[in-house]
Amino acid sequence: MEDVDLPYPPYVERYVLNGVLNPDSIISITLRKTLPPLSDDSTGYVPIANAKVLCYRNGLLLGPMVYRDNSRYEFPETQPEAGGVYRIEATVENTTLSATDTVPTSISYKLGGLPYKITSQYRNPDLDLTFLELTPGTKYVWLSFINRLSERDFGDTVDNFRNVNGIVGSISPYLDDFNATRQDGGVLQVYSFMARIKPSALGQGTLVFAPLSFTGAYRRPGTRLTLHVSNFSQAYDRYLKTAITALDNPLINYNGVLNNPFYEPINVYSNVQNGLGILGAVNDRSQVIIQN
Amino acid sequence: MSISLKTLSTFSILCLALIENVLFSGVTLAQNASVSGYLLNKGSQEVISSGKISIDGSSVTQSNTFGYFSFSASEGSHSLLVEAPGFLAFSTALVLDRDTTIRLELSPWEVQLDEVRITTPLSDERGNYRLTAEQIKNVPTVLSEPDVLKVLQLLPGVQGGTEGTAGIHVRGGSPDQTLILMDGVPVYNANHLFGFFSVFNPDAVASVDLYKNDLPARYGGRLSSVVDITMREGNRQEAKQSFQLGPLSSKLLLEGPLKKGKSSYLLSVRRTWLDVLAKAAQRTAGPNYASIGFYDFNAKINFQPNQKNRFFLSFYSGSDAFKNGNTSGGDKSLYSFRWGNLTGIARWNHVFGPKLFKNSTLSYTNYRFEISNRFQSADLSYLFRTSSRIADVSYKSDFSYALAKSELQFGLETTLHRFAPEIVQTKGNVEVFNTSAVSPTFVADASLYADYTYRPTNTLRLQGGLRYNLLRVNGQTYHSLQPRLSLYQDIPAVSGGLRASYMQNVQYLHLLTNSSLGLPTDLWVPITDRIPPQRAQQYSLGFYGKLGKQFDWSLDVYTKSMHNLLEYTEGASFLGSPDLRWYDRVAVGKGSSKGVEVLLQKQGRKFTGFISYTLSRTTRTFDLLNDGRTFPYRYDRRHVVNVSAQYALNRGRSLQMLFAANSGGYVTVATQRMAGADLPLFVPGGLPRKRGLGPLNELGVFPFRNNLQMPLYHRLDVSYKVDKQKRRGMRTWTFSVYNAYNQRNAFYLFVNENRLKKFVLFPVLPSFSYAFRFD
Repeated sequence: MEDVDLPYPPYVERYVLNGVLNPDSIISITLRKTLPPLSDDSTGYVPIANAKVLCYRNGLLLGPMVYRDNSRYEFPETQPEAGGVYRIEATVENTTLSATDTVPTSISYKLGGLPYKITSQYRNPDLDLTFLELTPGTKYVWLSFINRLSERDFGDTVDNFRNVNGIVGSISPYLDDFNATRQDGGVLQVYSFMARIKPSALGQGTLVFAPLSFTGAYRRPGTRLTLHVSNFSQAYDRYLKTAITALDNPLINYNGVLNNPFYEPINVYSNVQNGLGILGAVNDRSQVIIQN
Repeated sequence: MSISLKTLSTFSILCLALIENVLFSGVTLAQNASVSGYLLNKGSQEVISSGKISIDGSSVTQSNTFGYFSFSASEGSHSLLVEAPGFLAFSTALVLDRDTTIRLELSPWEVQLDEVRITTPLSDERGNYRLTAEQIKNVPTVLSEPDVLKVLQLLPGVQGGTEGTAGIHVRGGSPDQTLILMDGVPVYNANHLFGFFSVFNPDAVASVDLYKNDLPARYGGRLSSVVDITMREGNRQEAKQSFQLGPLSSKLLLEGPLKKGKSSYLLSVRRTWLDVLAKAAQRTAGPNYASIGFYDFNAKINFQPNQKNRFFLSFYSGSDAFKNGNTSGGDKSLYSFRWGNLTGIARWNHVFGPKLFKNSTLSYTNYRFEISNRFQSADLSYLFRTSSRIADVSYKSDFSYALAKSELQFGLETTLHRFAPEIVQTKGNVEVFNTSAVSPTFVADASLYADYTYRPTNTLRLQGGLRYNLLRVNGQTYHSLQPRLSLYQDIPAVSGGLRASYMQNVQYLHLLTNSSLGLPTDLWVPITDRIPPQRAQQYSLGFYGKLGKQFDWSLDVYTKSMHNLLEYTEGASFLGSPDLRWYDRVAVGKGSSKGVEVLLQKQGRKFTGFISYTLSRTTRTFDLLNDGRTFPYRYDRRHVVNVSAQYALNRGRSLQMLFAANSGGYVTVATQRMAGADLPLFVPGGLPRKRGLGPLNELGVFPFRNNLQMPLYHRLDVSYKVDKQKRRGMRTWTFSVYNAYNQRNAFYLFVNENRLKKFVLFPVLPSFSYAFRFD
């Protein structure tokens, strides 16, 4: 591999608006500038601190958002409401960026365990998830786990705990395989770190899956395994799917090693007018499955 | 489909000419005599196709694929000249007083080492190309492995894809738009070793014809071109054997008469041996191994019980396999990837009379790929398998009827395609919720065609063809009419001529590929109610001629428009979305290409060669890609130059050289870098991070597709060949150097550590091979 000098396409600076509306937290977004693709700027993306940012709910102005720090704007003490249509308008110099999204409702499900195990090297518990009152194709639901594990499981000698992302394993046809890999080349699909349920499969049957982690890790006192079942807006779902695809399929990985020679460049989905980024929305339901 | 009034008018004129010839042929015959027969290789008695036959200085016909020819000439004395690529020209006096059957024989120049070496032009007056096995072997290649398709890539209007691969792009078309025929039967995957070599063993090839200027109506089903590869029949006079050892593969060829002068056989087999060595070496080092290899096998028998009938049976089998075996403790896994073609062909030639010739072909062809994974441990075993298969059963009859001043070719073809892509099977003691088996799709395809060539004067030829196609798939029926028109005017004053052609083509198959490599995972898929057939129309105009006795030149210009092309949508690849059906991953759009092509060929005794140059521009426009804006085709290379030369030294030694240079193709690079919104519920430390901004802090923005042109590509290959007659046969050593001056050409570009970088796949690459042909 060698450097090559070619006239690179001209760079035009653009503004990036990112925000995820979640009923569990206050309304906030970030505003930054892009960088040239070959920039070696180590200070990161330049925050935009002087923008005028307005927040609307169901077509009515809620008010201006306040700049906090590190490119972040907040609408103080206001959490998004499920079902609400939110619009953010950010004016930077002579450009107005805008984006709209609807906060989804939380979804109902029933969680159970199965007496058998999905074949995996860790032999972790199998779980079954049944969605209640869902019409296929109307929701965008993703699964993920957060593990609270002892530092001892990472080779340390102390009993401090830290959270790590869990991995979903399944052989269910109800999961979208776009980010799946087969564990050890087998039939078990591993979804790092989130698994998307096919919208068409919702309400169709019971989804069986397993949290994959260290064998016996959950037996240690203080450990915890939490399942998150997240209902995303369509825009956020599209963003996540394209972003994870871009993340999982670089031509060259972070070590500079060829990762996927068949990769094609992918644009991450954006719903921001006159700019880049995403205004997404999520309604999350979590459940602690194991706690010692 | 639109057919212009002008096109219809020209076609009507040709039809009238045909009617006139048929109705008044009796009158004409009162003054003419028919001459028919076979054109044969004097040494092996194999037939010679595309041999040009001239009477009194004017070309009257060509021998067909089976060496048969037929023409009419006035009674009396004539001079007869017969020429064919790779053979010494032959001339004689011909006295006609009645219908005559003759047998014409030409000597191959390879056995006339001390004689004047004569080559015939690569291009004929129609602007199509003919390559012989000898020409193919005389071009230096990677690892001394001669390759049919890589030599075709050197011709004007033809180019390869990614460096080193065998796919061909003709006049802005993608590789699937070229119909590759082996003895008249389509080959769906012409690639060995992920496309770095083609499946055709040059030792078994008799000739290769490339049609890109005017496609005879007997060919159909692809937009851009046809590569018609005729395999050898085997020596009908004496048994011969040869073998070759190269760094990549070994070849063995056996041929000879079954009954002298009546029938012959040919067997050829080629196999890689590096995979065997690599596997053995890795297994010695440990339990894990990875290997890749291929083989191909050709067999052909022909039988000619009498002058009116001839029968052929051909068989081809070729396969590639990639294997990766791992053993850990008591667990064993084997990942394998196989792909290959299998073809069986039966043909019957029948001569009804001096004017009417028929060839009937019954064939079966099968292409499949399979990915399988076996795992076995003490308490578990499973097998996972994905496969895709296309199987065709086909019957066709081709007729040629010689009339005074004209010739009519007509025929029919019926094919039943069976597509079975994306089949999944699982076995073992793993609980399976579902197996997503997909029912195969059957496609019925029928065609009728007629090609009429009319020679109103000795210097003018008009040709009109029409192909009607009917296709039925999923309860829907599609029709298409594909007109083909061409004109050839010799201009004796400048020892040259002019040619013009127009053609419409329809393609009912799509190849889904997102890679320039010849991946076995490329899927051939039929049209559906959502994916329409591809269509193209092309106009071309050319001039050709001679400069002195040693140089032939030609210049062609063309413009082509293509509709209903397919491309994967952004990020949708075979690797990325196995869950999606193929038609959910593609976009439909159009393309255009225009260009100028120049060929200069030198013939001679010691020094031969050619220079080809193509100036072209090729674009694509898709509503769903690049915001609907037109973008350059990935292999839109503005300038392409190839220089191939051979110099014969004394005592069987020769030098070969190839210089290739072209403007770079296009790649898509980001124009901005941005930070995206973090993944929800993401715990820091779980994914690779840079600069502490989260996992999605380095997203590229790609507003323009194919927005960066790759650097200029160029390289020089040389080879040195030594033939020596030994007591039991001819021994040949070939020493080759690929990329002799070690040019660091970019295989692909990428951005890493804020720098634009290139990956170089082929540095300087020396190799040698050894061949022995028994007398």
